[in-house]
Amino acid sequence: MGLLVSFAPDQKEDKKKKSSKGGMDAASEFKSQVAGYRQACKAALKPFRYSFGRTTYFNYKPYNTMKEVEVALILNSDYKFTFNADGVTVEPIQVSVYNKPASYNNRILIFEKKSVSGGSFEFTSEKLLENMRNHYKEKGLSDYELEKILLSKVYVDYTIPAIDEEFEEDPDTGRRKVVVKRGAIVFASGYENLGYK
Amino acid sequence: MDGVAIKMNTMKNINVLLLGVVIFFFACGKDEASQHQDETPVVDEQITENVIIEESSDFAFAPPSPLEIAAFFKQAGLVYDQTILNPVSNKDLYQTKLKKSLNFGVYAADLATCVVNDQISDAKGYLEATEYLANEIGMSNIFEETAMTKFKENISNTDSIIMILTEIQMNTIEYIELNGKDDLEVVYFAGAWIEGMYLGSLTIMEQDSGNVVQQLASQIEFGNRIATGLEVIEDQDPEIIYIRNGILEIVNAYQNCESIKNLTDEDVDLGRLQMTKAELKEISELIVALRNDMIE
Repeated sequence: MGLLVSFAPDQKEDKKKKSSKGGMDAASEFKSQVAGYRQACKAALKPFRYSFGRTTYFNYKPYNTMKEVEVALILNSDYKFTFNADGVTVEPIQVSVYNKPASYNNRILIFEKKSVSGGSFEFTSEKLLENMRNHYKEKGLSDYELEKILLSKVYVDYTIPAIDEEFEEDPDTGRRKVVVKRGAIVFASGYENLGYK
Repeated sequence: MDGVAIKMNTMKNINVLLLGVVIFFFACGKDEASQHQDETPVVDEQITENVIIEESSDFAFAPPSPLEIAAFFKQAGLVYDQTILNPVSNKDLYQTKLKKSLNFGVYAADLATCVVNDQISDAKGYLEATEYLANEIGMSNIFEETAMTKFKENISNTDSIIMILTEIQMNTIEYIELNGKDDLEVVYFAGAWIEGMYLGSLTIMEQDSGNVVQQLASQIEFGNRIATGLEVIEDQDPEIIYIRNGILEIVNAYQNCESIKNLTDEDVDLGRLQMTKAELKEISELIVALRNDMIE
């Protein structure tokens, strides 16, 4: 599952293999930082109860790329979705939420946030439902039918922009290699506990 | 396969010290809410070399927690019956890591079912079985040493028990994410998914609930993701292939139902999905058969 990528030790100006933090290398340090982002993301779910979390690691490429997370929901439950983008430091990404996967031509965009880089944001399933209703309202559906709209799954798409590749010399082989520039965005979902009382 | 730890060869460069990063949430003397806020990851700071981080796959999934699924089926009318769950004593039957991982997921679903139905006495056995299998597959860190003690102390407080299960769920996901255990994750979810579908099938048999059909349909489609995840596991043990084929058989049977084939996207969005009793029976039988094979 996924491409195995060996971390280039440096991402920005710091060209040293070891960071100053307890001798951890860049990859270890990044993982440690992302673990902290996950905690922040989970804490932001309050007052909803934790359901699931998903960290998406990505590497910037010289072309646009996309990663998708399919989120299954329990019908008629209220959810809160939180994101932490502190691990997005190279170039901002775009976060879009649809009712269908990317393979569908006619899917409905129900949330979008452009230029996501650092910080956090959140929204609820009610907001997504409202956007779904608005979509169908414009198509002329009655209020009766609009109330029946279900959201059993949503698809979170991360669009990662292209960057200019940078190269460095491999100290072991002397060959030129691409400097891997990576990022991570953390997602967590929580459900309204009172809905189960 | 004695190896859900597939890709271990590729992941072995990850320093095992990272395994120690799992976070414990059951610290004594703290209230539950503040525990969430205060926790910070504890990272072993020994030097690591050649750390590899796997880029996430282009398509990933985020299933509902076993607690949510169990609560949904309870609300939908599933009557608690311990005899429909995977007996705790079966835990000793599972010899391979695959079987242990699958049934770790099954027991997680059963444990949640006990708890949401206030069957805490039964839940204790399932917690022990879950912990036993977690230890067997190298995930002992998701249970704090005092988890069982806390469970016993809160035996009359279902909400606190749910909090303990939620913490275990969080720790499980954290463990998987920290250690890149994608293969373990998909097998665990496969087990929980099949058990959840099984309980949903029984609910449909007992209750003619349209809402359950909608939920079950949504969950069935999720099977495609799990099947894809099982397919990319490196060590294609015959048992993995069997489980994957069983899941695909369920998904295909669902997609080939006349009631489903004629649905438009709008029909699905507007909750117009309906299935005949014969269709539900056919799919339910496939689910029950696969589930019963899995727990043997």
